Amino acid sequence: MRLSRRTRLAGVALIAASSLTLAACGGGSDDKSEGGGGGGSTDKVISVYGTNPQNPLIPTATNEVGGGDPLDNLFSGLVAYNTDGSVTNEVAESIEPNEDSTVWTVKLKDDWKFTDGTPVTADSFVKAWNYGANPKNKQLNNYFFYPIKGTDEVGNTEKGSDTVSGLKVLDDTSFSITLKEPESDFPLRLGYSAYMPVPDSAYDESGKITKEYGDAPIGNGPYKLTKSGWEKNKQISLEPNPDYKGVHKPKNGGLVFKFYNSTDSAYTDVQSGNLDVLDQVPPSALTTFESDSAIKAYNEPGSSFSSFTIPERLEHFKGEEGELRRAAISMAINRPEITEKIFNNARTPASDFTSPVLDGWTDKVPGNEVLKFNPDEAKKKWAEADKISKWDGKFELAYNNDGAGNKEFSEAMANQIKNTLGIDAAPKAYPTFDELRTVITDRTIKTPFRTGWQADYPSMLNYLGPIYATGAGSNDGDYSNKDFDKLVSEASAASDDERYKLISEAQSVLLKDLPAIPLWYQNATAVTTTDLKDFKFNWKQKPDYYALTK
Amino acid sequence: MWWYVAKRLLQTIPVFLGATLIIYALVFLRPGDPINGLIGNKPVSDEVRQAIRDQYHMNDFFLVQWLYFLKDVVTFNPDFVGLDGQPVFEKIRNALPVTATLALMALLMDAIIGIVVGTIAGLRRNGWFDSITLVISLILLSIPIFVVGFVLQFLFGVKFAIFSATVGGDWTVGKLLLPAFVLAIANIATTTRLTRTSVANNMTADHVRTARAKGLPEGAVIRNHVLRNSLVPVVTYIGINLGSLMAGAIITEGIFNVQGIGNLAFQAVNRGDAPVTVAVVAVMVMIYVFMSLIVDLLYAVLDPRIRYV
Repeated sequence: MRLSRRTRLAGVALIAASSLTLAACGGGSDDKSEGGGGGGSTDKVISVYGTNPQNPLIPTATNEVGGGDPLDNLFSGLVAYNTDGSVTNEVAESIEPNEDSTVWTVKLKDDWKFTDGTPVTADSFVKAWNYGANPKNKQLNNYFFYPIKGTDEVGNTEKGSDTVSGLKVLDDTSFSITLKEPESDFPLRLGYSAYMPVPDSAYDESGKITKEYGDAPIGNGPYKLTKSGWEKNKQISLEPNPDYKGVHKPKNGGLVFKFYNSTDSAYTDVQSGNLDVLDQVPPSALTTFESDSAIKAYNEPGSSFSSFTIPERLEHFKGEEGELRRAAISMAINRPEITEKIFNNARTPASDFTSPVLDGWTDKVPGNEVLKFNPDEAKKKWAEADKISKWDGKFELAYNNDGAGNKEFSEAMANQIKNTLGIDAAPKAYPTFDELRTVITDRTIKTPFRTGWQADYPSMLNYLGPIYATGAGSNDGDYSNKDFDKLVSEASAASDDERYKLISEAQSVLLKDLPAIPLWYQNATAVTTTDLKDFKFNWKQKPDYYALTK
Repeated sequence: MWWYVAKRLLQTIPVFLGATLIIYALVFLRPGDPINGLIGNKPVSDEVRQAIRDQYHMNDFFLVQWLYFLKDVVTFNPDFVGLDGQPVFEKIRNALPVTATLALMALLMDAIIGIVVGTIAGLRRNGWFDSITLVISLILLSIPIFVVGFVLQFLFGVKFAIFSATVGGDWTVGKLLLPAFVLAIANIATTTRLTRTSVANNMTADHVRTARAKGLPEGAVIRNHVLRNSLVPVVTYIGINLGSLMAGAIITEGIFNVQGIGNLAFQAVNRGDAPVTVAVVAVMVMIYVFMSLIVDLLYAVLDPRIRYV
């Protein structure tokens, strides 16, 4: 009797335990069988580092790299970017401006198809752009449409209209874009993923892009999703699109974006040969990656720009006094020392407000000596400013603690400022990026704060206008200078040498006013397995995925 | 006994309500706006920001947010999505199997190694085996888990390439061996110490002496009279551990790139993703509660004097 009672009890416990386990495993089993075919069968499939996309894979909704990298390979826009940042017509046959570059007429090649077989028409572009600009659709990339007439300054359609008035379909293969202001480099923008065309099958009856489409987008790019496609928490698998007619024809058998929790574990996987490409080196490996014989290492200046912004409204940082203090602080910072000691040369000291990878860039912008470490001159300028109004209080530098290296460089910089100028300077930590951005956005922050810019398209003007023009969307410090605004809009309308001259002049204005203190350009770093070939960074600090081979 | 089980299951309801309410309050108190994290340095219109905040009820008081959460859970709403627009239930269903397997494997390693070694040490108290186990378990207890993790990963994953260095999305039991061992290490030490002390104590108990005196063979004495009594505290420890193993997997999952619950929780907290954070923590709490129920039921198997009425 006793035995049977105990057996019964054990039985209950066992059933309870196993049902828990079974319930836990039940959901996974069918996912696993689906995943089996992922990535195709040839050994020429290249595995690359990725993260789980934060948004549905819709061109106008994706604004971070986890989704952006796969999207760039799934879609082709009007133009394609070459490795050096110049553009070539892709789906566009021609993109022609009127005489003052305010109206652009786009003609499409007529033989492009989406991977569902439907043709890429003028409507595929115009409808997608209207969708992105309509605030009802909650698309994070709506600001890309702000140059177009019929949108407000953040890119929403005006007065809640469903369509942008500056976009007109002329016929099946041509449409026109009317801009608010002349812009001679407008076509440079058009290779960005926010401007990609979307097929009709993406929309439901009410005109919304469906969830199913966001999970498995149909594009017109060099690659298409494999049958397994986007496996949540696991990977996104792409295979070459046989109908693709553009300039980025895949040279490999496909791409698999494998998802990682950290770059550390991805680095380990490259070392052990389980991952072919990791396009950013974890901080823990920065001192060793270039001498690691198990991998191939890449390290060169890139396109992302780091600075810290001193808002115009801060006490002591206005007018002539502000100008002197800003210059003094800039000259108190020893950039080469920080980039070497803290970033192990994975940053390059800045000599302007843009990036060395861009066409027209020069390190000889007049006035950029203010970015050189010069303690004597710094002290002198600070003393001059003190004569206008005596400095009191503390110089604080706000940063977000969830970004690698932020704490270290903010501390080092505060120390340099403190030692050179003899003032009380200290870093001020915000635990997360979104907390810092919140106080910046609602203008309650009382200190200078770190800022950065990753360009949307390869033009120096993209580093200037959106950040420092009066009232611009990313003008976090509320900087305003009429001369600068004028030079930027003139440069927008000009071309070639004239344009670069105007950009240089605009930058000289910034170097005098220093609305933000330029710090460094982030280097593009990457590691690959030793058998991977044809790795090259493009202007976005990303490998040209289509060209990779093994 | 069935009444006891039903009663315990009913008790999970207030536990679930209380735990999720507390977490909602905590997420609500967190400063910053998750939408700003989603957007980055780029501008976005107030209309879009407000529309997204409305969609996730972020403008409501946390009690109201919590009620929305309860409604989604009770109705099993497939449109219950995290900030990234992915259904929360699907995320958990994808992440749970790998973490459950990892935790069960760690638990098995812990139980087998810990009980066997602990029993031997306890039977030969103060002998050389006992001393060596004591030293080793002290070392294991004092090394942080990420040190053990990175070192073992480098040695066996990269250098000698015996095990797979990371797990990734295509997980198998074989790939999980190394991370499970790392996860089990600290617990093995505790289980060993616990078993050893318990066995040693029971060896000198009155009923064991009686059993020996009536001429029972030594093997039977140890099996039926020493071990069974010694295992009550050990089972408690190991059982409760499964819950903490599931939750404590965050570090191990990070090192070995396991796309499990720990990783999901970590990223959700980082992003301020309230729906996912609360749902994941609720699942962990539930697992914890069920495990302690199973432990309680196992007591009766080990010790017939314990009755559930």
